Amino acid sequence: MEPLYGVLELLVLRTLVFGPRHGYAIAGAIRDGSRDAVKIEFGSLYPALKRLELKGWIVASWEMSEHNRRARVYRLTPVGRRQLRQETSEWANFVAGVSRLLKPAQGEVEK
Amino acid sequence: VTLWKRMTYLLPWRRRAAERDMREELDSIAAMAEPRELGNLTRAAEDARAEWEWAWLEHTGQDVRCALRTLRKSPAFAVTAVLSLALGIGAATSIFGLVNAVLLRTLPVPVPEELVLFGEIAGPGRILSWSVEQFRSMQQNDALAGLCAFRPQVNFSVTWAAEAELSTGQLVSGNCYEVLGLRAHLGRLLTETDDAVSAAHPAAVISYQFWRRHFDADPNVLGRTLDLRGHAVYIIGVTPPEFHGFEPGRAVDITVPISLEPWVLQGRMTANVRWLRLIGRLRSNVSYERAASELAVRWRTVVGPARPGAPTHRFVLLSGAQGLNDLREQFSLPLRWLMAAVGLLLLIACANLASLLLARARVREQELTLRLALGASRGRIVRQLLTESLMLSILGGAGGLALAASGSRAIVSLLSRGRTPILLDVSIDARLLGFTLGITVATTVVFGLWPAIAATRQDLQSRLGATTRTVIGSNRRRAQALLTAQTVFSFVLVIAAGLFARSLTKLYGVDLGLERHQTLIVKVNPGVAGETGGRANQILQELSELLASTPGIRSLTQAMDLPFAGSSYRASIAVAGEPIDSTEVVSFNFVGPRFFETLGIPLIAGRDVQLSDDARSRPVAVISQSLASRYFPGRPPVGRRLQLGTVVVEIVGVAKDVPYAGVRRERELVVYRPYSQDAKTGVPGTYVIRTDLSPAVVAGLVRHSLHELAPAVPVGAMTTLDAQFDGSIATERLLARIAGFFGAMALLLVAIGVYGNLASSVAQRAREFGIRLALGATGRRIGRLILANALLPVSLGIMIGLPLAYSSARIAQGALFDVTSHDPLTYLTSAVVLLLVAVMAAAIPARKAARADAVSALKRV
Repeated sequence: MEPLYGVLELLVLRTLVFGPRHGYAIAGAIRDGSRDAVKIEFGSLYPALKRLELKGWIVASWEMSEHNRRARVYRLTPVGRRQLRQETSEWANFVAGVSRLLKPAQGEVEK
Repeated sequence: VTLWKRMTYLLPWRRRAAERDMREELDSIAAMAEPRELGNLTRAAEDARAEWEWAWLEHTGQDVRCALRTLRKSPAFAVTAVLSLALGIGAATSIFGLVNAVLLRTLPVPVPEELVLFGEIAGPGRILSWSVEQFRSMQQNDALAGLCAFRPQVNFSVTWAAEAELSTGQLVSGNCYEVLGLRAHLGRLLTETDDAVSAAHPAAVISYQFWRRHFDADPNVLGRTLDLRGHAVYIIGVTPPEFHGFEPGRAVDITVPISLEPWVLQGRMTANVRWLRLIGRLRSNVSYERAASELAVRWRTVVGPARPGAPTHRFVLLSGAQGLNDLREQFSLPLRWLMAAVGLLLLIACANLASLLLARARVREQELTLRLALGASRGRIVRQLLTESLMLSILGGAGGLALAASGSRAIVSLLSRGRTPILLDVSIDARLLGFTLGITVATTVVFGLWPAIAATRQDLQSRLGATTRTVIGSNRRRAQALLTAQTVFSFVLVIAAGLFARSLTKLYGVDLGLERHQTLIVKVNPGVAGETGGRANQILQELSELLASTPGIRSLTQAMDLPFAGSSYRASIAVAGEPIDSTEVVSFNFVGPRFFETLGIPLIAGRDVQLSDDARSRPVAVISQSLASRYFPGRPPVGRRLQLGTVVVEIVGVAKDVPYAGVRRERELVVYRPYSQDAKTGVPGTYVIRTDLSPAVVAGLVRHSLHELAPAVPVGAMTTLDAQFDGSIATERLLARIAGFFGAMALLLVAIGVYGNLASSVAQRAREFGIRLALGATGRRIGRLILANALLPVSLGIMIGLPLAYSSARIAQGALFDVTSHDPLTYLTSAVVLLLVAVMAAAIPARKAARADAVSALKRV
């Protein structure tokens, strides 16, 4: 699997580790957690949620939010948790690989 | 798990629940977020739906339902669009079916590409046949794996058991099937041995169709005999079902070896008479070019050096992959014209549809803008419009195929109006289907995608901001441009129709050198009733005498060949005492007394053939005017002698030239001989009768007389010289009819285009007209405005079409008779007709606009 393709899904799974959240909260958590470095359009996030739900990595249910409103809340499933662990290590490998590539090789002289 | 979940979305209630959840969820999130923070939620929902994977299926279903609904809502549009598409595709497919059958199909034999036909070109369009002697000499070469000779299309009167039929047969050299590489369907095919021993054991091969038709596919047919003009021949085999002979379109029933010629063609084909066609198979390691040059050298030694002053002949090697190309040659010109006309018609139909769709896009502008504004993606809308076009294409394509099925047959029967029936396999094959599909898809892309993209190209801002009027304006210009393009092509087709019609009129006005009205032709074949040899001659002779004395019949004669039909016997001749010029071939006709009087051919000098010119008197001949000037330049020919084979004849008359092989062919050199002086010719069974009575009455007379003489013999084919003439210009008549048909179609499509465009533009501009009326314009003025709107693109189209027609009509020159392709009268008439049609089509919407009253027009919008 191409790592970059799954980044959004990885981020969503990661946000849900701390507990169930609804869609809008997930978007906010990604934005705040990355200190505004990663901005996700809601138009991309929402289909990603449906994708994860379809894969069975997260499940959705209607709950009451903190403001006493009805909200559709997503939570990780055991499969999703396992998937998160695996993909996190894959991501780390990927990042390490890319960094190695971007670092000037030993003996190579920059002109 | 994933797949299963996806499957559940196919269930309607499951999908409805999901939809509901999604809507509520998005609503709740929208309530939490800042306005505009989330962007296009409709798009997000759409993309989420796409995750369910079945979305494409759903969308297609939706698109199809939606397309059908919108088409149902505007039946006039749907009908005109489907009709013009069906006409275009139907015409193209049926024409292609014909082209496929005549021009493209190869003979059903192994490696047909290796087959080559021999030809000796004796002048423009004249290819000579070969004599048996030449055939044997040409067989000695290193370039070919085999060379065989055949005589296609010979009428065989055969009888078997109690049945009789005039069948079509051919004569082939013994090695023919070996050269072709054919295997028998049943029994075996002819061999060299059959050819050599044919007198002792005459063999014949019958076609699969003949076997099915007359022997009920009986496997015991082998060894049975056919009666061929009083001689028994044995059936030794049946050819494969797909093989119909050497000529596409002409089926052959019976094949016998060329050594049986005396039984079929009365032994007239002596060793040096040219009556055979040659077809060979190249050695696999010899190229076509090498073979052509090697064989040309061989040919030169066979025919001898060219005589000074004689017309130069040359040897050509033609591709034999598709068999004999006579039919191809005869029809390739009309077929090429058909293709061109069909191409234009398709272009017109496409332009027509495109302008209809543009006009529609104009009407739907509001709807589309609204949907874009509500968040539908552009791709989705383009897809829906494309689906709509595709539905039209499918309907049009289906209609087209249905039309093509009957159209092809109609065209084949049109082509068959000539002399011989034509059996063409125009059934729809894979290539044909591919062609139709190609046209359908191409048409969809051309007329569907363009308006769809045009309709969604403008960005939303400007469209919502500006009034829709500017957009309408630019679309209207585009539609008018299409109308102009359509007129350009239509103009070309209308001019073609005019030119061919004029050409046909001229052909009918030609001085034929004979009197073709009130002349009846009756064929009688006693052989059908088993009467052959001397008995048959006696019946025919007595019938002739009986009819000659019948009141109402002005004069009567018999002949082997008739004008316009081409001659069946040609040979080289010489002025008595001079050597034979074998490069020149003249036509022979064997005729009865009063031949020239009966056909109304004027004699320039000398006398007609008389009853006294019989086997006991000295041999005589009448020659044609052009033969006289070729062989006796500047000298009176009457009284001089000609060497015809072994016979020396005295010339007793010179007759005016008549178009023997057809009006448009070169005048032939003809020798007319009394049939009674030629031992090999029996009494010809073709009677020519000049009469004041109606054909039906004469037919009754002939039937009655024949019944008295020989009750068993039926009266054969009956026709008139007029019909014979019509048959001889069948190609021209066909061209005129086809051109007329396409011209009419083009006019019809222009009418549809003008009407469709104006009608929708009138509807669009109702408010504008209302304002104009309110400001004091008269209805008449508005009507004029509409008319001008229609006439502007049409006149522009005529102006652009004029040089196009002028330059492309030059190609038609060869097919025209006595009419220049730049005939000013035709051009003028075509332009006037086109304008008139446009005015008539524009009149209805123009009147509607002129009648509108200001108040209701303003209120409506």
